[in-house]
Amino acid sequence: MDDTALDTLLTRSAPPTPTAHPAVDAGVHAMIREADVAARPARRVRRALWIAAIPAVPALALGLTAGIDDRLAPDLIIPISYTTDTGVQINCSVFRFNGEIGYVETSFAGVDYLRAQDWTGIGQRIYAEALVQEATLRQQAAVDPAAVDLSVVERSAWSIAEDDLVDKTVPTKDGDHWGGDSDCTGQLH
Amino acid sequence: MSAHTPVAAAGHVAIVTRKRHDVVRGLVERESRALLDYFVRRTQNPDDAADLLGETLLVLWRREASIPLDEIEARMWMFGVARRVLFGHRRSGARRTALSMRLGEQLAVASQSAVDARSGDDRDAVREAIAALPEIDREIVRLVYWDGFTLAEVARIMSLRAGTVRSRMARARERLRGELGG
Repeated sequence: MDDTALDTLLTRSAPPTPTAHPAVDAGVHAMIREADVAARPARRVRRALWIAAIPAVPALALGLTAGIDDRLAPDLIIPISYTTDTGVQINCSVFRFNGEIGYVETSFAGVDYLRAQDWTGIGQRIYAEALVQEATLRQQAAVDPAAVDLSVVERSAWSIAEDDLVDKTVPTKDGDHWGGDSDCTGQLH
Repeated sequence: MSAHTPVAAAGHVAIVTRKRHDVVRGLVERESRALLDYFVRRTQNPDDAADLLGETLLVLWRREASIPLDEIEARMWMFGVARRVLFGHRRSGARRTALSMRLGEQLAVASQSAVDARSGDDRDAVREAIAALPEIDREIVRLVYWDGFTLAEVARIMSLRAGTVRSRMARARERLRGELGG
C-alpha cells in the first residue's frame, strides 16, 4: 500500500458524526449562548481591572490584547526519570497547571504545594507503583475482560500511580483547582 | 472632554472589547461543530460528548481574552482546551445543564441514522487498527486524519515536541500499513 492509499484510508476512517443535523446544530448554538452568559461574571471582573489599569499602564492593555497563550506554559514541570525492569532508561516530564478545568485560577495552592516538594527519585517510585497497579489491572481483566482495556494497560497503570504519588499528596481544599498533562507514555517494560 | 481622560479611554476599551467579543464569538461558532465531532469520536455515548462540549464552551468564554484572533491559532487553542477538558473528565466529570442534556438526546437520535448509513465497510477495520495503537500515537493519528491538523499543530495541541510527534506518526503509519494490507 503506497502513502497516498494509506492516507486516503485513514482519512475515510473518521467515524460519522451527527453534528450536521439541524436539531443538533441548533442545540450547539444554544449552548454557545448559555456558556457566554454563564462566563460573564468572571469576564466582568477581568475587564474592570483592565480598564482601571489603562491610564497608568497603557502597554499592559496592548499585551493583553496580543493573545499571549499562557495555556501552553505549564506552571510546574516535574522531571521524570526511571529504568524499567528490562533496563530501558526513560526520561519524560509531568506538567501541572493552575485552573485545569475552568481556567479560573481561584487558587494556586495545589500547584504551589507540589512546587514546594522534593521530587528526587519520583520517577522510579511512580514506576514501582505502576508495576503493582499493572498486576492489579491484569488480575481484574482476567476476572472481567470488559472492565480493563489491556491495549493501554501500561499507560493506565502509570496514570494511576502518577495520580497516587503526585496529585493525591496535595491536601484537598475547596476551591483548589489544578490539573495536568504529561509526555510520559507509561512504558513499563 | 479630552479623548485622553480615563472615562473616554474606558469607553474606547469597551468598544474594542465588544469587537473582540464578536470576533471570538464567530471563531467559537465556526469551530463548535468540529469540537463536538472531536468529543463524539472519543467518548462512548452522546451525553458525555454534549457535556464535554458544554464544559469546553464555558472554558472558552472564561478565557476569552486569551483566545488568539488568528483563525488557525484559535482552532489549535480551542482543541488544546478540548483535549484538556477530555483529560480532566475522567477525574472530575463534566457539569450537566438542561441544554447539554437536550443536546445529548438530539445527538443520540441523529447518531443512529449516521451509524446506519455508513456501517459495515472497511472503515470499521481501519478504526479498530487505529484503536489498537498506543494511546499517544492513536491521538496523533486521529488529530491528523480525523480532525485535519498538521503535525506541527498536533505537537502544540498535545504539548509534545514536534520531533516526537513526527517519529511517533511515522511509526504508527508503518504499523497501520502492515495491519491494513502491507
